[in-house]
Amino acid sequence: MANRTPLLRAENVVKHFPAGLGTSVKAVENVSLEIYPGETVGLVGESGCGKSTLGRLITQLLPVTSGNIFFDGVDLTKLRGEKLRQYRRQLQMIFQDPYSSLNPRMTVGDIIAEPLENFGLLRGRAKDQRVQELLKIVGLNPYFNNRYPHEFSGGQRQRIGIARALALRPKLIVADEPISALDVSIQAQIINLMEDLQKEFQLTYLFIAHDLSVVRHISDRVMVMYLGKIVEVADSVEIYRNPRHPYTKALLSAIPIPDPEVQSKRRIVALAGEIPSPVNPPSGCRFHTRCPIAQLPTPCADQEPPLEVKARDHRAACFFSEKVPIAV
Amino acid sequence: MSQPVLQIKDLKTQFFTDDGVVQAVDGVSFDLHPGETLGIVGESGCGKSVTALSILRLVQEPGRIVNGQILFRGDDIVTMSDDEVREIRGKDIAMIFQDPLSSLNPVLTVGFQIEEAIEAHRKVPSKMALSRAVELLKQVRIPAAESRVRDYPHQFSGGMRQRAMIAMGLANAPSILIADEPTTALDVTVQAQILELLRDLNRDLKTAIILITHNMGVVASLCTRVLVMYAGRVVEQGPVERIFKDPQHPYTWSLLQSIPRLDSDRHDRLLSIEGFPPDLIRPPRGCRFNPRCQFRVDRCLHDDPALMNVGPDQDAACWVTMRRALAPNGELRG
Amino acid sequence: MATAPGITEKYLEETLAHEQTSLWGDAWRRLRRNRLALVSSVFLTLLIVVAIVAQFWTPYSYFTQGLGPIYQGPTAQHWLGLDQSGRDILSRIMLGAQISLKVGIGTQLVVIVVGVVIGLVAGFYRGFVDTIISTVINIFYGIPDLLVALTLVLLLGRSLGIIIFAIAFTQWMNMARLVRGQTLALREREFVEAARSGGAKANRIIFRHILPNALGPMIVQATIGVPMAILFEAFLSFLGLGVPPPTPSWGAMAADGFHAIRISPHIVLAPAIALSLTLMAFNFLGDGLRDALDPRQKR
Repeated sequence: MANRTPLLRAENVVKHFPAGLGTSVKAVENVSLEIYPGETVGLVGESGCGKSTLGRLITQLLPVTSGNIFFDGVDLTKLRGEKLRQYRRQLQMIFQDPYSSLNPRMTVGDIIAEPLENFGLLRGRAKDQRVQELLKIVGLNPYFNNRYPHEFSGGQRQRIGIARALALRPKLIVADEPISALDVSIQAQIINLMEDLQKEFQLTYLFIAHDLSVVRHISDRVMVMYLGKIVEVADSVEIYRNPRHPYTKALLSAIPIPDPEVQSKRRIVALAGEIPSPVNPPSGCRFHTRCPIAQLPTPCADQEPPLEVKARDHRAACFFSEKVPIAV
Repeated sequence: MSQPVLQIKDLKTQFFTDDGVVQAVDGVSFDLHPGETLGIVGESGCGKSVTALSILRLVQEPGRIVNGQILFRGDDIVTMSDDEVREIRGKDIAMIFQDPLSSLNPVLTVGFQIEEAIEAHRKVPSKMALSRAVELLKQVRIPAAESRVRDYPHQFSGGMRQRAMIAMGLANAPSILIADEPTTALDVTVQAQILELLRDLNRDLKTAIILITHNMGVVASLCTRVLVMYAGRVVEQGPVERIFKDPQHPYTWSLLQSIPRLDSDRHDRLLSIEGFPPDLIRPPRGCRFNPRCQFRVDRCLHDDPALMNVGPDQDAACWVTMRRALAPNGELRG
Repeated sequence: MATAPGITEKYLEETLAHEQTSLWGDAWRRLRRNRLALVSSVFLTLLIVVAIVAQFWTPYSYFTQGLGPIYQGPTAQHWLGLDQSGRDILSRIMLGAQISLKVGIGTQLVVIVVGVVIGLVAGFYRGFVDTIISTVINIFYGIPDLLVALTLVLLLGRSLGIIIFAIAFTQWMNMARLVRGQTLALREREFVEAARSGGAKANRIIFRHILPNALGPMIVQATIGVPMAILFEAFLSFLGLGVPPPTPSWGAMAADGFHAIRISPHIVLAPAIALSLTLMAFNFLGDGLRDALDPRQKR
């Protein structure tokens, strides 16, 4: 993807939330990334790493503290009001919780039609037809449009959320943990649906999740986030076979593989403690407090490792990336 | 094999709601041997949690155990007096839950709550209770246990709270620990730590563990035997290697095919189980999985299969079984 | 041993998820199952009918004096007896119901309009606007209700409209605070985020996403506000500051009979019982509505 123009490019994006008494939560710190047309980029990390915040900055549901987000060459962070609203058509979002992401007082038809009405795209019968078509596309009965969200199961509700996101024919869809609230047997349905839709409508996805096995399955490239920073970016095969950041390595080893034979032979890279508070992130490399290979204090605790190229299409932010043990 | 420490026989637990009777657990039977790690897997609403709650008679209104026996060392928990059950709870059988925060009292220190768990079953001087609490916190690997014992739950991280819950569960050296989705609310790296802890406790203390989860990977890394539940029934049970390698019930098989594996580079389409779990007020006739089963035959529509032996120590409730469904001659596939 | 934290509820929620018919329909079913709330709504419906009927017909004219011996107890002609001026108490109770309901419902209408607007503005725009509004609300809470109402009535006069306005003046903060809280909570919900992501403008977010979802608690709040207003009016009238005579207000009627409570208690009892029943009915209905509209809040 060397010479292609990215669909979306984020540059040095920072997001701090005020946390009272002059402190702030450093949710996203100096993140730069590119998303190319037609690809699926996975964004993984544990709770509190800032992945959902980053997703909302990209869709401009949250304003950045600093930095730029270019979509099709236009800096979204400079747009306000009506101009920004017009850009929302191209950037849609699928939410994690299929229960709280649908307004319980609106019919499914109204929920899906709302974006169309917001932009005055379709009216009357044409609008109804489009809604029914969208319901069909996501695998629901088109005559369900008069029902209310609570009449549906979690998986069906997530399909409704997907139909709503598709209504405006967006270019980029940010899916924030779209399957983690669903039952195991339903997760595959939604993943398959998203893959089918991507082919059919040439969609670009930013797929945010905490489950690296799911992310690896659906993504072309994977970005790993830790405490507000992207620590590694690589092709999804490469990141598993050849992780270049100790955190990625630990994350990979911690995910249980549903195969007792394989699982009994794996070694877990134990991390000391738990994620530090994003109010007071560690100095230098933010991972140094838990890192099994950190050299302290220099350089890991006093210098910040840049996210640099370690191999072809593979970047990691670690001074000692060659020491990260290979494979799992 | 040794005498089972717990025997569940034809357990039926139902919820009497205004919409009708929910057959949450419908004829579940299994044995648990001392020191065993048994996984109960299934999706939400399959009855795995209700089974666990039933064992300790913790099912609340409008739920009731309507049938069956729960024999703990031969005594039936179902027919015991409330006092007798209370005596068993926490002492012989302990339970930990998914959300440790709502199981811990926010205005009492963690240490106090562990001491309380100890003192609930025997009189000990408070000095001893305190030192035992510290010892337990050390056992679940909470760093600086001597000072953390005076902390309140909110000062603990999610993983530490779950450790504290486990410590509380272990307070009276129970013979059975029931863990209901103990790692679901935790991050994977923390999950790995908790699973390792449970594994070590099982090995060192010989505590039998019933692990209730929806996560096949978690089962694979901790359990020796698995019970797969669907719609209130056990549809398959057996040693963990057999269930993962050679599942015989189409539900177990499909579930394993539908989850992406970390170690697979193939980006094949996942197998998806169409539809969703049935309404347990009016469960389907015949096999409860039949509306979603891609291998069903006519018999499945009206004849309800019981667990049948399908391999060494392995049972499945299926008329077809995967062995025949996937047979090369394809006698069953249309 | 820790208890099972809400596992039963969670299980039932999951398994019964698609059993419901509609949110309002479901609330209605739960309300019907609440016997006290049901009896209360029947009583209140009757009361409303009585109040409407009283507009056109009462057994006797409510202001005609000397219909019989003064202080006369209940008789076949005058079911609730006569008062100190020989007026028919039943007729006056009927008309009094009208006054009470007008005051109760009237104030709530004012309270809803004022409270919703102010609460929405504070909750939706937050920041500086919210700080100012919240401060004003707190100042209003600090002023004694009676003082505010008395001052207003004394300054502006004793008409029904002024009384409604005065009572609403002491009550709007409850509704404003409730709506503000609901708005603050709802605007963070994912469906509001989804609406913004779909290009919805502020108006739409407020009127289609926030307000309809705050309606349940608002209805409960208003239902509970009605008896508070009725009681307040009765109290003002008891003090002789309510609707001017001869319009019969239950509070004024009770005050009228108060001096003769030993010889003819029926004069006080009739309005007092009518008032108590009405207040109880509204409170039971409010409780029932709370349980019905938000089943999780019970316990």
